[in-house]
Amino acid sequence: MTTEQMEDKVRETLHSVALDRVRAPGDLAEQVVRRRSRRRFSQAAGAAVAVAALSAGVVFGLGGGGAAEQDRPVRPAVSPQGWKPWHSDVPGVSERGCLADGSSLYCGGSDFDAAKFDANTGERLWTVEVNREGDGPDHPFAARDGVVFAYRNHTARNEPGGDYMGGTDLMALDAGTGDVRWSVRMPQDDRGDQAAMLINGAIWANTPSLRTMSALDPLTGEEKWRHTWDKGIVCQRAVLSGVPHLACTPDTEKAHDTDVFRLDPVTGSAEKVTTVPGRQALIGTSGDRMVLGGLKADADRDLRVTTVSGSGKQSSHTYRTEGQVANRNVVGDLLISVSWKGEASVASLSTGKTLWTAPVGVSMPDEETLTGIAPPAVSEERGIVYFFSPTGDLSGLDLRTGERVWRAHVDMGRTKFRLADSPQVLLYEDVLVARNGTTMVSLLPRTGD
Amino acid sequence: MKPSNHDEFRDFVAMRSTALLQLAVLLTGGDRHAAEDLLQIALMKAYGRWAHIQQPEAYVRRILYRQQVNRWRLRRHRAETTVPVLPESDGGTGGDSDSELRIALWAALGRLTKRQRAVVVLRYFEDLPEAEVAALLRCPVGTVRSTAHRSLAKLRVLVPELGPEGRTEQVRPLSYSSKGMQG
Repeated sequence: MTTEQMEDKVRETLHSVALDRVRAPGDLAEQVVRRRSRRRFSQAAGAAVAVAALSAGVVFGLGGGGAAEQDRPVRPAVSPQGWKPWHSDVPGVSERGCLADGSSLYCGGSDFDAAKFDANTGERLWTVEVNREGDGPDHPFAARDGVVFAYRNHTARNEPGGDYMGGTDLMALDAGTGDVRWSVRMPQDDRGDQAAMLINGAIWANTPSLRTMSALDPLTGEEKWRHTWDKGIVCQRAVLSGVPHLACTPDTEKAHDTDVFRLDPVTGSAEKVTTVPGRQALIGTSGDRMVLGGLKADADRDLRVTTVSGSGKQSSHTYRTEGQVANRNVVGDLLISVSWKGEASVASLSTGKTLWTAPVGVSMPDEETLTGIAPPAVSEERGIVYFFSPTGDLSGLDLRTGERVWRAHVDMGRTKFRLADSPQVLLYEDVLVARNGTTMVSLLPRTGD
Repeated sequence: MKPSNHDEFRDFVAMRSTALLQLAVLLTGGDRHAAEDLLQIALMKAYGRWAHIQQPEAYVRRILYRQQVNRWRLRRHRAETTVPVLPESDGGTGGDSDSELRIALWAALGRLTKRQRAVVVLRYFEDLPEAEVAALLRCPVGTVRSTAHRSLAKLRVLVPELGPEGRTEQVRPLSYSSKGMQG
């Protein structure tokens, strides 16, 4: 069959599909409005950036956010030993995102579920090929004690009928060699921030069922304990200083209160520590505090943020959201937000006060784009919060005042077919790694010299 | 949102949602559940910007395409997939090979990647030129061309009855009869 005939046959097939039997539900508009309402709730609370909050919060601390830290001046950037500026643009290795861990970068792409890079040089050290295809936004998400954790397709095979068998595995890789130490099948294809997390002595993963979180030995994958919650309940997961916690609420249209449970990291036994009024979305963690967000019913631009300590102590503040939030991050005591209008704001979780509001300093992508701006990254050491737009703009604002202390533009290469990208800016000591799609650029933001 | 905008949105959904859902069904390879989800997401985005949108249908279609190739992993377990929509048979001619070929081809379309399927639907269902497809998906024209080429090549592998590229051209024109493909 010639190409033209083939095209005609495809055209004919598409037009022959029995679409007249497809009817949209009569209440679709209402469904959309209701769903958007729930989504706005979630977005305003910033649940989508929980993992960024977790990683940044752990790495950069900023615990307490006291006056001494707020007053710390921006110090000059110092180049790590052996580092030189580098640029990488290799298809297939980094489109899904990266994890910075010391002098190593672990990335995922369309061809590799994991690829290790030397953060000093950009040299690729090892790779783990995808099973079939790598088309999601997931990437290696944690590394500890010589083990890197990532996801991959359960199999590349098809069922006898020809359909893809699918499924997701959590896998543990040897950080030195990239060898797969062990893998465990997940009950669904959720590779999001809360699918698996490091806790004290284990990797805590949503397996083997949708309503179960299990603690697995990081070296062997052996199950240490599991905790299952009741049907009809949804539980968000967070780790506070290495201790697993659940924030659970009934899965209903009507919003119910949210119960917070602490799980013993050794035995898995659960203890209810408090109940937070209303349905809450997990924004992130701050040391041993869980940061939850809920919208006030009478003014949905107001974000009600509640922090819950491991002992159950609650503290709530309301933040005014000016315009739709493009990205948000919790770092230490700070709630950092960027609006689609290009305004950055930093608020204290302890006091509820907005510390400053300032232009973000990068050109914002169109709100219609599905990628958005990278989650803000904070260098506690330098007292700077960094922003990165997929256009290649970078900026650094003084964490104390919002004053712009640095800006740059990096060439992110020609636009390629990389619609699934979500840009990132990562920190390796004082060095930045800006990543969008296949392109990674490592540079030292020189300020305060 | 102003009440008038809300009413406009409801009217638009009432008027155009079935056509848009049909498009979403094609984009998702016949998975009705995924198609509804895709359309809901596109309409949610439209709803949020309703006051600023000049051409709602074009806007929603654009979001549908982009969202489909950009979706987060939403593959479901086999047990959760809905019964796919099938191509119409030619009616009453059970075992008609042309119908069988279309069904096989439709099944194969469902096994393309989301990106490949979006390009195929835009090129061969919407009949858009490569440049317009590229603009919609925000990628180079060359990428559209190569994606379409790879998609057709993959379909040939998945549906061997289609034969290798150009084979019949060298022998004689391909025709289909009720007894099967004649080469």
